[in-house]
Amino acid sequence: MQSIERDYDAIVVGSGITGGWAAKELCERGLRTLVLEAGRDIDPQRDYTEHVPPWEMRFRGLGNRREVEARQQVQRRSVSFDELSHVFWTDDVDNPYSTPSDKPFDWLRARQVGGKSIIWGRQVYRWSDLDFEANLRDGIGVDWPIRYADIAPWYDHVERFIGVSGEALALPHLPDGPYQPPMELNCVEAAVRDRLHGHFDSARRMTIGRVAVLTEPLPGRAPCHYCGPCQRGCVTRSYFSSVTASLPAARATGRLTLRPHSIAHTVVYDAKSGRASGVRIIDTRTRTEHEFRSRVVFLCASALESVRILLNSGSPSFPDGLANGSGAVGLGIMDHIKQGGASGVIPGWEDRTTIGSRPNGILIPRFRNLDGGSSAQAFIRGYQFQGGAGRVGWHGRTRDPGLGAPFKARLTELGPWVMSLAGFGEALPRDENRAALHAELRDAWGIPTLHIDVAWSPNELAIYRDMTESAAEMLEAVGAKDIVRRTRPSVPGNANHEMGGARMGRDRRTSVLNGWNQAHEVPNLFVTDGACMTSSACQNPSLTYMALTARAAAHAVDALNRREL
Amino acid sequence: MTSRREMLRALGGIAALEFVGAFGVEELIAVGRRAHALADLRRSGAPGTSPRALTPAQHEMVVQAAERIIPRTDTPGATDAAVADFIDIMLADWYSPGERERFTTGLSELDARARSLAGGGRSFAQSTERQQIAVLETLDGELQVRRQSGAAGANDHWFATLKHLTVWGYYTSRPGIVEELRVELIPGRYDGNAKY
Repeated sequence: MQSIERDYDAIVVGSGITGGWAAKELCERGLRTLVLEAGRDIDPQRDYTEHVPPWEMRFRGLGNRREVEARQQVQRRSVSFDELSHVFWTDDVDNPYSTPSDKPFDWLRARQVGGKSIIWGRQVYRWSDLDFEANLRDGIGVDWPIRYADIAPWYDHVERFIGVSGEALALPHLPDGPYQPPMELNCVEAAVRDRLHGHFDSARRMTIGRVAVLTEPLPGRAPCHYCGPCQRGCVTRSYFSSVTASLPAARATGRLTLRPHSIAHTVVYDAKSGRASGVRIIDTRTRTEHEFRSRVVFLCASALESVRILLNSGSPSFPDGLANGSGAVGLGIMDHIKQGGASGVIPGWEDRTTIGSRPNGILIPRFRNLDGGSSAQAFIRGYQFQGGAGRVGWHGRTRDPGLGAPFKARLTELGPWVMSLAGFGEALPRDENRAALHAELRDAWGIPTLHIDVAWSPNELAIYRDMTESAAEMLEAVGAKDIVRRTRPSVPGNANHEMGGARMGRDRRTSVLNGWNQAHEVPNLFVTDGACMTSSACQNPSLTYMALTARAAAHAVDALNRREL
Repeated sequence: MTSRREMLRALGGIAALEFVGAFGVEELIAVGRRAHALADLRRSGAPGTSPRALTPAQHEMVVQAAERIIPRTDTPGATDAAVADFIDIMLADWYSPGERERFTTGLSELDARARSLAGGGRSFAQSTERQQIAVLETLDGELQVRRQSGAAGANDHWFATLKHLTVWGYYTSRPGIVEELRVELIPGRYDGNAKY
């Protein structure tokens, strides 16, 4: 041990979408807060590259193949990975993990200030009691210890701060928030929506995505100017990230200490007090160990990293990992099954096009099993579609026959409008899907890493098949031609909606966290990233993580003030 | 009107919370370029000015072949877009040694085909435009036959690579995007129902 350093009121592990929120809320509520970030610091003006035009990119968007094949074989599979954004994804050689050979899992990870909030998809959807009651209703996993009423005010709180543009629909299973004006559907999407509503009598709705990208200014942040590659950053701060919104708010209190290059590997447990006493890190610049102490610890390191830290924090009191008397740490890993869906040509609108790169698409909210599951489906739970319409450009025609002026003219000419629907399906929380410490494998800093054992179950695969069939059915209903069905489910993890591993629940014998994201067995330890999730719903999860984080932070400060922690 | 100084302050530090404001396209691009230039400085191996994978003679063949595939019309062509320089970078830093070898061997075949043309007898680079087009059309026809017959690796053929890289390099170049496609990269707005 190199040193034991000064005390803080709170330590937050991770500076991503939940770490930034924990820092903001804890600082604003008066706590001197240390944020430990494994990666480097980020300066938007130095590090963001969204305005670099294609012709200034060395490989014109095809990426640095040799470097990527050598160092980022897993991370490259993210939809947000490109020639410039690759710097926001981790190095797979330094950060290994393992899976059974027949069960691939894409562990997509980011290590820098801001974490994945720089490269996230920005789609934000509320859950409803259809989701929070699902486990209880189906007798699967454990019951959520909270309901929609518990989290609704925190959804409001988060949405107001991050800024969400979208359309209110008054759907009971997809509650509305305080939205900025929605982005625009393009002409073909609008027509498809009208035909869809007509054909299905509004039982299947289409709307513009609800997205954490501004259409109106917020303090310090400008509305979107439609440049496109959000995954490379945003110097106008138009989309929400920790770097440009929550961490600055935390810093403005004067109570924030942000420490980059700090890989947290252990939460220290004090058996005498029955509390977490602090966090141990390795400084990646000096390769030295440090320990920081605090009254409360928030794990916001991302679902699987937080699981890893808990499992690496064993002690005589908790031989199987901190707060793991239940044995539930690492169980119930989930991700959304995606890529089910279809696309088709929508005839017409040959004289129309779009201007600007809209960082958003359409949403078709869940329409299956809205009664909870008594209907005739071959599966329980449901899925939603995202997607959009656009004209086919030259990218898809580089292999066309011909050469010379006619060839050039054909490539330049925009092709037909194609409408795509891509599903995100709910995954069930199953204890067979688990992450455990690997017996030997260590990362570049000698920290034991994970063996991740996750596979789709028949329910997810049935959802996948129905996504594809219903997408094709809808496209046919709206007049699409040349419909192409997707046939290959995503690899688990690839949706980058990994969650579970330290689930919330009512019973300390079967869950890790209580209804306040507080470890049942270690009351001053909170886990508020995706690890806390008890089920997965089918909505993009970050909004729920943020709301749970803000709620947990308020509870922690109240409990500290009541001297309960 | 936002001053340059105000803009830099607003964009500069994450601690600043003042309103960023709406900037002009050139200002936004300038910020992105500066960020990229700084990132580039930290990278080794800045692009050279002379070809690295191709000999000067091979480079000239690629210049001419690319121009025949995407010629200058009333808009810029492959030469205006410096497509051959992009292809050289790809061959030097992106493709494997084996793939590079296949490509340069293909250029020798291109020469051989030009020389064997009836009434030809000159290298590809010294052939007339019409002769060059005849050679390339033959190659393109053979490529389409290979693809239609489902031949394995049809897209790995050196001519498929040449054509693919020519198209890719052209439509990602400044003239290709700005003058040919007339795409506004940072329009500052979204119009989902614009006239085409």
